[in-house]
Amino acid sequence: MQLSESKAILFNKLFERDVCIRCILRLFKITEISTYRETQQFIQLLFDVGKLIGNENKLVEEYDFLFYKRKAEILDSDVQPQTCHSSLKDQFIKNPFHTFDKINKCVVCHGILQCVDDQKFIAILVDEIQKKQYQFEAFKFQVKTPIGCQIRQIIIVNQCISEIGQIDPLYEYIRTPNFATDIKICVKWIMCSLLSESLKVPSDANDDRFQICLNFENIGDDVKQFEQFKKIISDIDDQMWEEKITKKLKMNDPQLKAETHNRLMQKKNQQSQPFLPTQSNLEKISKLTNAQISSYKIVNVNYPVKLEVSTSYQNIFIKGNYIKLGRYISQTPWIIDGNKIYEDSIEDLVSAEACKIFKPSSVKFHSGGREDIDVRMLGNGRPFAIELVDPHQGVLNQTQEILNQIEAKINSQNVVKVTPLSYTDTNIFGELKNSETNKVKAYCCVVECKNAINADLIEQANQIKDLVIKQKTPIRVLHRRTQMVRDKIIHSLLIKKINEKWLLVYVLSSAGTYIKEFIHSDLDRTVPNLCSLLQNECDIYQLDVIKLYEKINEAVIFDFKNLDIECGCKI
Amino acid sequence: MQQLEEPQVEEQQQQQGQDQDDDLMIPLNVQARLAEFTDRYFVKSFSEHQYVFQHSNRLYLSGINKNHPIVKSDSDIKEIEFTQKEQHVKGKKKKGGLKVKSDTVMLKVHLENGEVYNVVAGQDGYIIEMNENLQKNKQYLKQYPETKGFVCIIQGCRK
Repeated sequence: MQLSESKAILFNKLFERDVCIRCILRLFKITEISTYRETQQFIQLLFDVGKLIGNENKLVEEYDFLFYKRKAEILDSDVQPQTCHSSLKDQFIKNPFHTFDKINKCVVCHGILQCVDDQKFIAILVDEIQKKQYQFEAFKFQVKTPIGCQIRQIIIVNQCISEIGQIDPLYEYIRTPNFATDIKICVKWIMCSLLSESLKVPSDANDDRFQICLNFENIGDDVKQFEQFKKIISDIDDQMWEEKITKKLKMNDPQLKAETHNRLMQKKNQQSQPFLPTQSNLEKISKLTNAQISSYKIVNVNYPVKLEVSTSYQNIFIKGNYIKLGRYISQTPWIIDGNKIYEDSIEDLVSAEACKIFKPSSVKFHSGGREDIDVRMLGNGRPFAIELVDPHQGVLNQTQEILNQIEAKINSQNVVKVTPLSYTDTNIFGELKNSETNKVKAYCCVVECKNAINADLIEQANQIKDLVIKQKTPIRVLHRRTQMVRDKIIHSLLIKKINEKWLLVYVLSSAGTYIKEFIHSDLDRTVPNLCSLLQNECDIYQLDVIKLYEKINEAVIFDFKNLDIECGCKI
Repeated sequence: MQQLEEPQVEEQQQQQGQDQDDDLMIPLNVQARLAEFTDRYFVKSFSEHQYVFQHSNRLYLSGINKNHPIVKSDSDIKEIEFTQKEQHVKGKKKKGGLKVKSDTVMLKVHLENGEVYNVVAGQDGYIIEMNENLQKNKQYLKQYPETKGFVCIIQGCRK
């Protein structure tokens, strides 16, 4: 770092005010990483500064080399866990940063930049991360710091510069908001290499798979720091608000004007809240002039800094098609009042094995549509995807062999089977949605008729093509679905007689058609329906979904008409 | 993946012993005559001339039963007058439905022979839907009073 006399004077002032060396370097916007890391060079720096201010040894004598700042008495804070506000009590709990509570703290960073390269701290941190048992090859490092640090920065810089009393272009630069290097970046510079040494994996900012996030928080101090500014900011806000409502008060009658003004004023005051430490409030404070800021003080360090370490791994998506061979298996676990209504569910059966291998925190099941509980899903299967959220053992297991293993395990149970699985990503959601709304489906059902069957009408029904039916929301789902009329298309029918009163009906229809209601007419709320086509009273016995097609065309209809033969039903 | 499993007809006959369950969508007992659609899903309750069927999802279906004079009379229906204003429900929670009591008059039925009968809602709650088929097919009320000729669907009052 190149020193000039004005720099040295400011350096000395900040040093006297208990700012740690790393924070001073930040305020001068030093971006050379080694300057922050090579702490043994700090003494030389202090010596050089001392020379320029005319007293070589002053700063060196006052230096506390353990904490990179001036020696100071460690005062007992006046806030204790017993006396603080209940919402802030959790700042006193034991967390990885707890051991650094009673130290010689810098007034700006509260110990964060002073302790991040402490061997003990790194050891505790590494321990925390390894306890969570993740498998990873590299990590991405994220840091969050308390917002109050920036306020303290602004205040102390302004105070020091006004105390010096000289006008200097350098000081004007330093005073501009957001000039200083951010604390987060410094933490990353210092910690990345240390962490990667201890964890024995490289740190890579472009590798999104495994993320370690350090969240330093100090809400108690932040709230106190921001509270000071409440009056002045609300005065400025009031002024801006007055300007904003001049448009609404463009009326000549003074009484009406006063009334409207009062009404708007009441509305504004209703929304008044405490001045919270947020990013938007920080920006308002940075806009204050230097003269205004100089009247504020730094609040004494009262609360300890709390650190939360969180880790996460990128979600893994697996897709495939499933078929359902049995009935009374729900799509997802159906639980009412803590009781499982149906024992098995497709979600459980399909994702159990994957969960054992990948060990995710949770799993989500997505499918392209669903079928009723008592309906089988056959043929080429329904597309689905499982999302393994935050898998702990993701790295080495993302291979095709593992997928084959999972598939074999699921298929061996003979209840639900899956097609060859593959890995995918978030694009699968578009595909699933598309499948739900656009695919054409073939069903097979067993239908009983009340009266004798008319063979001519059956012939007629077999000839229909693209019949448009209007379905009102079926009564059985009316309690949870919107009441409306849905237009659906029956592309083709294939009806075969089983005996005098029983039929086997194949239906080819657009996505989302309620087949049961088409057959039994749902008290004539679905028209036209099979009862009207066959002039008979029909009811459905059982239903299977046989095949899914991409979209309707001649080839599909041809294939559909031959499904009877393909399925091998013997009548 | 292309083969279909055993034909469904055979499978059914294996399951004859299974009991009919109110919660089942489709009973698997083939030997018993398949119950009417309304018997399968609904719990029926009758008053002197009308009925209220409650579905397993707690919606009510209401109308006149086969002992009603309209059904028993020889005379055909001349006109069905909807005495309440049409109100459309919106959304999943069916907001905006007409609030009715069990004795609110929903229909005034005029027979050919001049007799006029009032049909009441039969259940407290909010109307989800009136049976629109009665406008075009008046005879449903007389021929199929307990199925296609129902009068309205009511959502019970929220607790």
